[in-house]
Amino acid sequence: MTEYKMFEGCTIGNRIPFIEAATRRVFEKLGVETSEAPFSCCPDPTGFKSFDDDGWLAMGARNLCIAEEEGKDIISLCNGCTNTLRGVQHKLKHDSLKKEKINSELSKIGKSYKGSVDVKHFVDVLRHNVGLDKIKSAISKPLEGLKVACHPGCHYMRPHEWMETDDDPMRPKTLRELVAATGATVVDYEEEVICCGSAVSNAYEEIGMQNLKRKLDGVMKAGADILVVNCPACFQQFDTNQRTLSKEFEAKYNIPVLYITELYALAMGVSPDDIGLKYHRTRLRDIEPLGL
Amino acid sequence: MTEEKTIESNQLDHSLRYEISEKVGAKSLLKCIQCGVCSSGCTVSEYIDLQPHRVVASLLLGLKDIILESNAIWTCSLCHRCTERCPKGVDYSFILALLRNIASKEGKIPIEYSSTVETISENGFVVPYTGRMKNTINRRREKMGLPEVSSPDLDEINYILKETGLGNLMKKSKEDED
Repeated sequence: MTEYKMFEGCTIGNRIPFIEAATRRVFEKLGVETSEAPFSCCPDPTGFKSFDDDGWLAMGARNLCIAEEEGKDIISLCNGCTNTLRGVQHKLKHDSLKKEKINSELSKIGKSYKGSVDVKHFVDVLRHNVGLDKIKSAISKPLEGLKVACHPGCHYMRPHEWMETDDDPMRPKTLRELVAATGATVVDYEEEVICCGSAVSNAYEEIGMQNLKRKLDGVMKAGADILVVNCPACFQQFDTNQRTLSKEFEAKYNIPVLYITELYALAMGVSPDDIGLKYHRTRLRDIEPLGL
Repeated sequence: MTEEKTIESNQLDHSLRYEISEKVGAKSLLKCIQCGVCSSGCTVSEYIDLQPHRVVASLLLGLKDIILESNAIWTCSLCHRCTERCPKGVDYSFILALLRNIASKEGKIPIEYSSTVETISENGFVVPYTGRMKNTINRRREKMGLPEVSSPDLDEINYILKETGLGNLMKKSKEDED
């Protein structure tokens, strides 16, 4: 199978490495091969792009150059990183003057962007390159009886022109299919495709918290046991801010949050200790079908 | 209630619409029909003082100050729902990012945003990886059998920051702190 350059991103690598641990275990079991490279910040598609579009393109292209030097595609564990790297790729492919300008900057640090490698979000690799059949056969502890609300996030599938996934940009189904492969039941809730509020909180925390509240109210109303995500920024928003939200609104928000690869690791029989499940802020132990 | 205010035509910035629309991918701005589909699908619509379709209308009129002072500029998470929904193919989220570029150039940028450039300059990452936090994370990584975080080339990163005008932003955020 193809070897990818691992782009874990700075939130996972530098703050919540337990997600990287779970992901590497799952990749190993499913035969997804990866290797490291000295990538920098992607840089993030909500902040950095806002300051200077050319700076964002040049920084992103520099990362793509590093993968190009080895002739390997990138596998990203983060919605934001995927969005930036695919966005930069798309823009430079369709704007030759801009590509020339960015390359003249990059030439001064000895780099040149060609456009010869691709960038994949890991859920697309799991869904299409590995496939549901292989995933199902790797599951040794099916999660029957577990009710899961999915949160795919915004930057994984939009704008569709950059992301070029087979998924529906307004009602993505990849995460739902990946969750269902564990034997768990995916529950519907009205706010599934709405933003978690993480990037809103950068400058307007109270509005970001309103978004979070709206999401979690929907998840709780749907009777979900846990919330499953495929983006570290969303993970942080859900996992760390529920306590603050509970205080602010004098209500009890305590929905456990799992990354899809953590859910897979558990369903594939990996020990919770090996993937640092104790570092979660929300409490997972009471969820019976997880068998913790 | 919105306060009524008269603006003379000589106070309008007539070049603003072209400053944005000349960028590759932003020309569709000129096709906006003010249907409001962007605003009806926006997840922060109810909290902002200028909804997406009104930002576009103001932009086409040249009401630069009103736009840049609105909380609509820095509340957006660039979720791109507006862009996907627009029946005329107007890429509002890109237009908003370009408006932020203009605001940044004029120094009208929240410190929470501008300070991240400095963090990237020092770390190579927007999520800092230094000091005591680095030790804790390294310990956890080692325990879970993870490889060390590869260090990016800071000279290369700082060259790009300086050359693309982001250096000014760093200076600005330092001044704000002092």
